[in-house]
Amino acid sequence: MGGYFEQIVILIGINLMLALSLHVVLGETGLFSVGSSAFMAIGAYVATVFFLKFNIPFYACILFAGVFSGLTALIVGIPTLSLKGDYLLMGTFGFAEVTRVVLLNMEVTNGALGIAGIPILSHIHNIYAIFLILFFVTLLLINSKVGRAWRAIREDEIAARALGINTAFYKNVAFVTSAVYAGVAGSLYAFNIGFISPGDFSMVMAFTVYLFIVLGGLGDIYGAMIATALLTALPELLRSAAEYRMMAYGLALIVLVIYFPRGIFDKIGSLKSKLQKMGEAEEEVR
Amino acid sequence: MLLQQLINGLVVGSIYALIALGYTMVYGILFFINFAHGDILMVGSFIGLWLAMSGKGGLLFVLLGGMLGAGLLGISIERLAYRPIRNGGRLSAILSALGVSIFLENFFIKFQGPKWRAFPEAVFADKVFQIGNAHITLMQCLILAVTIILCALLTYFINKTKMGRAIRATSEKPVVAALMGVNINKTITAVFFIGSCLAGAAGVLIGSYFNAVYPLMGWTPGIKAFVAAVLGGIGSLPGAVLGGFLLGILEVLAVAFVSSSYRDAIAFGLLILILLIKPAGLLGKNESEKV
Repeated sequence: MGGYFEQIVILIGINLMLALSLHVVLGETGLFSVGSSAFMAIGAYVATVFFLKFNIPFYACILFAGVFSGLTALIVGIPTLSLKGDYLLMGTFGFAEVTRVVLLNMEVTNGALGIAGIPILSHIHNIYAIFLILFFVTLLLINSKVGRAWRAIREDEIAARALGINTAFYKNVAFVTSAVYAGVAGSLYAFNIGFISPGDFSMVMAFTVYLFIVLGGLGDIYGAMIATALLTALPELLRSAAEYRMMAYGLALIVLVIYFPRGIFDKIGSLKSKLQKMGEAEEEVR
Repeated sequence: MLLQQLINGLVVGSIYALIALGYTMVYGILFFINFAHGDILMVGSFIGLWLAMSGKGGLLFVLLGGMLGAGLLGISIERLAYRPIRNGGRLSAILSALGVSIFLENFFIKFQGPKWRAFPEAVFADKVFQIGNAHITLMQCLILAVTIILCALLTYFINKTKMGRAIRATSEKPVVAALMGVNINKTITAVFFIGSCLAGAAGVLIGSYFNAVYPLMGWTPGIKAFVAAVLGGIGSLPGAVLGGFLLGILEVLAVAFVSSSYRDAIAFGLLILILLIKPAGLLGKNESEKV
């Protein structure tokens, strides 16, 4: 497999984990969190520092990255998750920016210069193995009591509370789960690129994952995964446009959102049902 | 020392206030955070720079040109990228704004280059005045004056004109306003025009104050002003101005007396704090939970 093609496949794998992370918190539970870039950064830094400074084995570092991001989410989530809608978005936005500034100023993170010389230990096989584990864990969660509580909160939080669901608890479970996924994705990213700096984990990245989820059809886990793969490959397909690539990407984003407000697959689905109806109508005429 | 810091804080704060007004006006009507607002500021700054380079007019010409250009851009963005998805939910609107932002930044990187450019000095000739033991430059006076004039004009427009009344009605209840004969599309266009004009003015002022115009210049002041808008209570015009000045002063004081490297953390720490204590902001309306 060529190096360039391999790199795209790896990028897709990492984005799939981020999409899974956002699917849990936004798609299932309906919480507008933009903290994923911060949790990804925390995971990346925890894993690299543990590996380089304390000589801890690679897979243990990945585990620690997830645990640390999850713990941070627990601490951040307890006060902020009571915020509603847009205010939660603003609160997590503030948290992400504070994290970035702290990483820029800490000694162990080497500030704006970042950490270089991280050994390349994450490849296609282990990234996708970890992704599959996370994916099946998510499926188990979604089909359990926890998942039903999440969807109840998404549909109507007050009604869910009236039914005796501990909404604060289940919101926090979703937030922590999503942070663990983002942290793991961040650590794998660090060990694939070999270099990290605070600027790598930007707000734009967090919103790009939103794009995957929305175009996959909000709440549809398989749609989200397919959209992630397609949209990660899209800027690469535009590479022939070279310097116009990012401009074209911006325009493509607007056009996609305008034409597919409910996701790409919703439109294909409705077209199918329309064709079916036409077919049935024809049969009736006969 | 303190007086000097207060002057610097007021100047930075007044720029935040101008930008925050645009965020808050759009949010007041459409309930969506226009993440491309900072890039509209950048375009306004570039238009101001081109006019200043042409050397044909004075200060007023440059400022008005930057404002008008940004205003027209704001209207076109609303028409092309936001209106088609107005009923598609906030998420789509935010994503569309992200697309606009990526497009504008990369368009300017491609055609103007990523480097910093400076305003020609003749346009904003600098003089220094002495107040006690503090200095205030002519440029700083100008920024304060422009902000005060624009805020006064905006207050008059919102409270005394027919369009201003339409804007207030639409932000109160769009459906009822439409039934009363308010043209919602026209009102939203007006809101985008005014908000973007203010951003354009801020762009010209920032560009000449810090002597740097570049394609990514809108990001930092944009998000800071967003914090200011939330601080004052998003959707509230006096709140945006108050939040802007407050944030500017607090930031400068923090840099002077605490540490300069945590300057940005202060703004966002403040954002989290206000959201936890009073999510509706200092001057915002508290809304109770409805079933």
